[in-house]
Amino acid sequence: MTTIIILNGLSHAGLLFIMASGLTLAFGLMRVVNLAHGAFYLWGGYIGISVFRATGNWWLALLAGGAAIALLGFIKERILLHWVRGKVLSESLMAIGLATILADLALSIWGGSPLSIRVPADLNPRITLLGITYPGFRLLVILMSVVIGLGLWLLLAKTKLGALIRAGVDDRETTAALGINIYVLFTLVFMLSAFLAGIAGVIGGTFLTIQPGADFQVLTLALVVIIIGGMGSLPGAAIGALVTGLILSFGRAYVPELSFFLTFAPMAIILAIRPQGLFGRAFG
Amino acid sequence: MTSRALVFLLVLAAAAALISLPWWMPSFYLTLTIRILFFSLLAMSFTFLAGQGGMVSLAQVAVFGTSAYVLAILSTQHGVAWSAAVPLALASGTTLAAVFGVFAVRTLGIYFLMITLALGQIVWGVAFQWVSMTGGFDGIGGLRAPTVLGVAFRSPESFYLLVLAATVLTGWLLHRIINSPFGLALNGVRDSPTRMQALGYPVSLIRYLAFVVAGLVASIAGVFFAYFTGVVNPSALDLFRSVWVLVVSILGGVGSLIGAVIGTTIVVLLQTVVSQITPRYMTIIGLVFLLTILFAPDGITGRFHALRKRLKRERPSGGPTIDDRGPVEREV
Repeated sequence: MTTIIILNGLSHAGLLFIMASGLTLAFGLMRVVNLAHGAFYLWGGYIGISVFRATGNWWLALLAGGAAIALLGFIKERILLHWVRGKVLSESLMAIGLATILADLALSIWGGSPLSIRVPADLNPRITLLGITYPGFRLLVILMSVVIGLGLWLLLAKTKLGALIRAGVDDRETTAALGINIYVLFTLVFMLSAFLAGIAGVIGGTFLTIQPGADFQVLTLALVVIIIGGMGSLPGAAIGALVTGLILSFGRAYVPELSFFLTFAPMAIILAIRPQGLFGRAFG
Repeated sequence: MTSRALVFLLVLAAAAALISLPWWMPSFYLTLTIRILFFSLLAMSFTFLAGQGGMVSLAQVAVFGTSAYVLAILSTQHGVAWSAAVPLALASGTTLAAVFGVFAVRTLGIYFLMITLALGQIVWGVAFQWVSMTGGFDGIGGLRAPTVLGVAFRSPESFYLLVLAATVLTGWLLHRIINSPFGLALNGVRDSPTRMQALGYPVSLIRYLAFVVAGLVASIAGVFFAYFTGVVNPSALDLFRSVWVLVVSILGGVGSLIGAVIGTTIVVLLQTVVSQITPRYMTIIGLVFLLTILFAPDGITGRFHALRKRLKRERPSGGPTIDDRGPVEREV
């Protein structure tokens, strides 16, 4: 029983990490909290579901969801964010406006009932582990989140692009003055962030369901994750996701009426003793 | 006639029109006006925090909803009389604001926005999940406005007059607070917290008190909302309502309290008209909001302000925009 709860928590944590890593990545460089990240998740999920129903290929659906949302991110960054660049609050509020529109349009296209992808059998073998049988897809989600986390870490730590991003995070003006086109960097990072939201949507649409309201639920949890871990920190997002995912899972098992509420307990504690989050830099 | 006398006459005429409304306005529009009034109160609690204190709070709706829930639960499940239920509802909402304030006022700018969003969603989660207390998705129904001293507030006419009085009174009190030394200190904290700190002002306390005051205003709105609709369910305090409050407040302009009323009026009317034409009114509202942020971030009252200045051939400058509120976010 406990093993199942822990595994459920870990797979949920994996999904939350994929969401939160994109959010925290964009924040680190651009100082923008993309409050449309949840709407990106929603659209990624719906597009993935539609592609899966048309083709039956889950990996194609994953890629399509990610790519479509990366494109959406490109459009948002180039047109909308570009317009209000530097006005931090306007950037976030605009994202809320965009999220509202996207949510309503999704409702008109895909309707109001929960949709999900039936996991293909070859991706969902029954795996016996520590004496229990567990759906393989959820283990795959955990694996994917680890791969994505390592990939992002490699990108940031070992590549030239990563070095540029880190330079931009530390000192935007100097980086720009050194002849780096910081806005191209912004667009790339934002697209990567949107891509992660998109594939998170497809994954969420496979082992959870996608319906109106899922956008803001998952956004809230992702925000909780990065508040715990510290804004802009990748390891912070990982730890925040683990804590939040496990609490959700244990809460659902033992106090189902208050599981959502419990998720916020670590956030409140962190805010009280270390407002910048576990790995965050001091602010305000 | 001097312009002062003209203003006085205009105000008098407007007051007469508002008070006599129940006697000449068709009931459909009367109920619409009631909605506009208590949502204006909710928007004012947002505007007060955002405009005067530089705190863009997405938790106002949670306070509003808590007050509404407490009133509905006490009145319908426990048979508590209005004279106890209403004060308890106001106290619960304000207490929630006092608790949230402890966490929220430690942060500024975008962090404040994020944290109030998360805090507000907790309350939504509780309302949704705690079925045995809140009735879950269906919520709590069957609430009816009481009869007080022979006046049945169940009738829209007397309810309207009560809401009108409460809105005007609350607006006036907020206006007094804004123009008091406390209000000026709050503006100072908004514009330059470090300087205010150096001058010896208790910066966090000032922000905290403003947050609690705004919580009380939102709670008042919650009581009227609960009595008016008779049903309180999680949609009373979901994020869409938070966004809605954000939209009306910024459209009206957070620089002045009247902006909250103007924004609410426009959006409620717009919603009524648009929802008859297309079910996609949230898209329309989102577009209106996007355009406001892009082209008139100081809102309608801010644009009006700028226009008046230009007519007087003063230095052209817009009213305060949402981004002029709180300098720290630029230093982050």
